[in-house]
Amino acid sequence: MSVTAVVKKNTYFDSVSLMSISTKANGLDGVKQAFVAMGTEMNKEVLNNLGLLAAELREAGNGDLMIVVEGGSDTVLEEIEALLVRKAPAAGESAVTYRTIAAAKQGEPGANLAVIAVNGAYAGREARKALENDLNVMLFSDNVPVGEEVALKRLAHDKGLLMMGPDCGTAIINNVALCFGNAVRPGTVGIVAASGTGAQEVSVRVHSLGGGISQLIGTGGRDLSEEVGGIMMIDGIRALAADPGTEVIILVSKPPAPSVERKVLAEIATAGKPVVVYFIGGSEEAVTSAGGTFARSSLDAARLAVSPDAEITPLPAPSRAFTPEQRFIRGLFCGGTLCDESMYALLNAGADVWSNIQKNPERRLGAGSPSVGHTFLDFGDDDFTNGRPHPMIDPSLRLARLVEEARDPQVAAIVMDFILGFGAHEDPVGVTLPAIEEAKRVAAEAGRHLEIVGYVLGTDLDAPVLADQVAALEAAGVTVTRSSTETGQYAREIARKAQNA
Amino acid sequence: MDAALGRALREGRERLEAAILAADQAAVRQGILALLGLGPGLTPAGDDFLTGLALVSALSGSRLGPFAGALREVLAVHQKRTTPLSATTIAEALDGRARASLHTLLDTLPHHDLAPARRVLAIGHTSGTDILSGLAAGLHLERELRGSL
Repeated sequence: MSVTAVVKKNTYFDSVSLMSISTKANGLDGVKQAFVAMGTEMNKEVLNNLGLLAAELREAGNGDLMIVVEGGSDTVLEEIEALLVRKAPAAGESAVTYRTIAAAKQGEPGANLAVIAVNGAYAGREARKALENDLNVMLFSDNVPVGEEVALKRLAHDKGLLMMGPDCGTAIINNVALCFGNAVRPGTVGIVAASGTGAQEVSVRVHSLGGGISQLIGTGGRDLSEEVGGIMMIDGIRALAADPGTEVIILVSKPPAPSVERKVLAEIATAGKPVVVYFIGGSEEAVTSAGGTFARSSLDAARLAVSPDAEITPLPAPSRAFTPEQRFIRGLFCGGTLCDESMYALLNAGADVWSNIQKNPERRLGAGSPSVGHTFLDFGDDDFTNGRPHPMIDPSLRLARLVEEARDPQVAAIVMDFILGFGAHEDPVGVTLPAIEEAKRVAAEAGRHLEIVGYVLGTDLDAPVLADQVAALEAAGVTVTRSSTETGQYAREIARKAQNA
Repeated sequence: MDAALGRALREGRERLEAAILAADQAAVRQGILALLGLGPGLTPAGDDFLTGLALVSALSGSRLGPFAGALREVLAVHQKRTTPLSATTIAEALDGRARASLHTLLDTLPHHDLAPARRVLAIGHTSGTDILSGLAAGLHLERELRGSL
């Protein structure tokens, strides 16, 4: 009796179709018996005992499907293949998809990091499983309760693992950018950051100054709060202090809770490496007395870490005349830290600024409120992203707002950021150009010059390339700034000029 | 072929049950190895049986703790002897995680209601039967291990 065997590598059929294949194979002309099973050791042993273990079956693995047919006509092999094709519309060879973290760890024993992005209600549980499987964690999800964050970070600390997040959108580990990140050159600058776009900006500035990144560790936005106590930032500083590939450390955050700031800054003394501290709007004295180097801006942070003597030429002041009515700046940002930095530039110059991320509750605006005076909006903040993707992916809200602001006769300039890199929109400038044209047309028809200022966060290694995006903006009559810091300075200069007109 | 498989499954099951009752851990491991990855289907029948036993062992107060320990050890060392799906299903059952229909069946056992058992039988093509067979074997073993009251 002839035996025909077929092995389908890494193929799964649902069990009902599998049985239906088996039934049909048994019904083929001249078939005495057909057998369909996975290629496990035990099944092969049974076949071997029956003398049916053909050479090709010997090679079958535990994820492979074996079909063994006794008897049948000369064309039995073709007939079986035909059954499989008909029954397997969605099956076929593919990469392994693991359904649980524990299974992934077992399947990939060399893995040491899990990126988790599930609904916040379940994210903590998944992160705990990852830590229990000795995986470092980057937790992209937000809306994780703060008590859970503290418990996860303590567990990670005790196990010597990184617990980046919740709400951590940016990290670069061993030169691999995770979630939102830019293509930067490898180097000796290590970053620990509580702010995602702040971390992206500093890493891109380090790159543009000729430096490179050793590691970029994200902590999540709440790490430096009183409740969490900076567990991850402190562990991050210690990790970079111990890392032979890191020569200088940059810390990036919004101003921490005062007790936490003291704890974090106390780590500087024992780091054994220079530490540059950029806490947006933070105090120079606290940093300096702790032995750190105080950075006034994101650009300053990168410069101090890479080449403290570098001269950075400022952009020429804006020259265009505004009407007496045009007195205000409107900032429409995707990046929270970029929005913050520009807003602080105006606040530090004594201007009143309204924003959805204002600390001063009297000047806080909701997502639905019209702009007032100088208004700087962070479209990536929760009230704008509720139920929709981040503006780095879905620009629709910001495009509509751009045209709306252009209609306001009080507006002298609109300031925008365009974020390139992994995870971001594939052509953030291109998708905005029609709205920019429309905004310019609306203002021109009303007899005003509307200044549009654009900053592209990205590098020459990013896709799309930085230079192409900048050229497209310039061709559309947009003034292009070269850093987040310069964007703030330029906005401040326009505000001065417009107020004095 | 079917007859040979049936024989191997029956032998494996008898060896495993005898070893559990004799509290012979080495023989328990041998019994598990005789079933792991054995049988036709997407989840081999032997694995479905082990899943049923594993789920009983995860119930509070179970006397099948030593079996569960042996199964964990065998899975850790020999998980490649079966399919990734099967290995995961058994490992989760050891932690008390399984399809809702299995939990419903266990929860409603005292009510002599047959509907939950029918829903378990509907799992896969033959998997439901094999899991149910494992659950029943586990419950019999629990009774044996407790002895006469």
